[in-house]
Amino acid sequence: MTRARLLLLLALGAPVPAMAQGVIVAPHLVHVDHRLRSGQLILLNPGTRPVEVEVSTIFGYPGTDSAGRVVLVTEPEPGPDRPSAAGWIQAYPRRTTVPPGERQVVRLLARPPVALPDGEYWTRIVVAAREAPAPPAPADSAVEGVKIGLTLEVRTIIALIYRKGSVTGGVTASGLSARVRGDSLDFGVELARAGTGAWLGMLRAELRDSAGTVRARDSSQVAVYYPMAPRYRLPVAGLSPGRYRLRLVLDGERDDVPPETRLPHPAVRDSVEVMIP
Amino acid sequence: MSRPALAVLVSACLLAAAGRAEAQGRPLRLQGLQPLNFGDVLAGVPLHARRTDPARSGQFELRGTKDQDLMLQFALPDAMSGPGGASLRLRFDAGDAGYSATESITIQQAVDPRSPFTVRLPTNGKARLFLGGTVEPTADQRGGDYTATVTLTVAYLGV
Amino acid sequence: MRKFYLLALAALALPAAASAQSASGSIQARARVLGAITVSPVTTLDFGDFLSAGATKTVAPTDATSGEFAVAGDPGAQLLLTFDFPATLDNGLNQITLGASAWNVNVGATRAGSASLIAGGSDGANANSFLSAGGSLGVFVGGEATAAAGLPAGVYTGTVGLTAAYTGL
Repeated sequence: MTRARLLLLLALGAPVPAMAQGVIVAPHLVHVDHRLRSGQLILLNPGTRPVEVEVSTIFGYPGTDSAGRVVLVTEPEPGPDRPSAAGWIQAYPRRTTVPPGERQVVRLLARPPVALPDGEYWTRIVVAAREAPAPPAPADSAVEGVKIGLTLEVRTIIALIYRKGSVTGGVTASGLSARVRGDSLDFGVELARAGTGAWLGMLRAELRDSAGTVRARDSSQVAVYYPMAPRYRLPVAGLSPGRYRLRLVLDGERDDVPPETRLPHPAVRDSVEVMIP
Repeated sequence: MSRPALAVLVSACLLAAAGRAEAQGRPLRLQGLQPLNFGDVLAGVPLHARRTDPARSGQFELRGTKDQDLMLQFALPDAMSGPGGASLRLRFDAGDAGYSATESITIQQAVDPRSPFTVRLPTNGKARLFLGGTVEPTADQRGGDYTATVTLTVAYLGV
Repeated sequence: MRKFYLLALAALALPAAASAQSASGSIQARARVLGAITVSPVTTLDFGDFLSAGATKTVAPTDATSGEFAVAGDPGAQLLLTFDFPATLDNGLNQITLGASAWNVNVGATRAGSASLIAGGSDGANANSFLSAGGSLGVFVGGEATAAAGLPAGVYTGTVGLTAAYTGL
């Protein structure tokens, strides 16, 4: 193998110095009111090189797979029964280059269909970022023509909720079940929207012993658009054998959802008895 | 003394008193016009609002007796309060305040808001003060709305 | 009546109200902290030096030469991480083959302390993970590359992609 080839292959995988080619995308949830029909994203390039950004939309929502794992379900061509805003939310600019250290505001403008019924409409916003290509080296450059060919692209997907008129909130929980597997309590619950709007809230789980003392707890952000059946785990290693009660509370107290956009509803509670062998 | 004569005397004295009050200066009036509005802030990313930013800068309107020297002092918070008792660091630097005798945001005399300072009211007795600052959210800054109160006190000098 | 005169004159001699000589006013300072998410490539995956044609090099996620992404956002937020892995690095018709089901991904604060997220993954592999209490997550990528015999010099290109989606919103 020639030296040039060795150098080339070395250069191919040469580590890029520590830097941030990505962009900061904020907020991670955009609410658009039909009366204003516009929202915005802030993109910030914290790195030292320009970043090319492309903004697009796709209809999608969190769901669960057969193992209860939360996934992002995307439907590039949603049917007419789907409350998709993906086709009528436009980003301006759609493509841009953000200089290092700079911010770029991306306007999200809505052009909904005429006579859009009251309700909530959803889309995901996809922000793809890659480092802007470096200018080609001059022909008489002292550097040999060995270039790193491996590029890294990152995409961030956030949620956009569009509301028109009156929208109701809430969630229902059913089918709470729990089973000890090894040193974990594996539990699952079936969740569905109780209102016309997506439910964005917190699922809080507590495992209490027969005296009512909390022995394990955890919480998780949950977004319910369509029926889903997530599964979770609580660590139970070291707990004495016996009867316990798993209590579940679903409420809308989330710091990352602006208070003025939350759909009020009472907390939902459920519980199930658990035997730890 | 007859009652009419008494009435004349009292009226003359009241008028003299009013004149004396006028000679001591128009009452100072200080009014907050616009909040210091940092707008949307990203966790972990400091944001500086310039005193020359029409949308972001805090603004006060000042009215008083023309050509009078005034002492002004800000009471500046070092943090803003937010959801669940969260605190957002707030900082003011030497050039973060400005005094404009023309009430124009583009024509300001820079002043240090961290210390008392003196200015002279112009011939029309009107002025404006502008305030900028910097918020310093931590990387895990809790999301939500944060507020704080900035107070400005002004007094005539020499009286 | 004389007492009245004296009282009236005394009242007129009082100085003007002290409040006319000073004043104060207040404004609010306001800010809204937005939830944000950042996904940044930190280092590329380095397969190092191919000493002989036809050799296969493997990089583990915990190796110093593994690829690294940094994710930052709301503390404790759940993400779905989806990876686009190239099958080859290309230079025209010439290729360096990358292991199709040999991609391994770890997550954690550091390479050494990271735990397996995806083992033997291929293009499109995805998994859930959580941002730490401090709102950060390191993602470390390892893989396998084979340089065929007689590989000519040139620029070999490929793209590795990471998509991070909040699943709690």
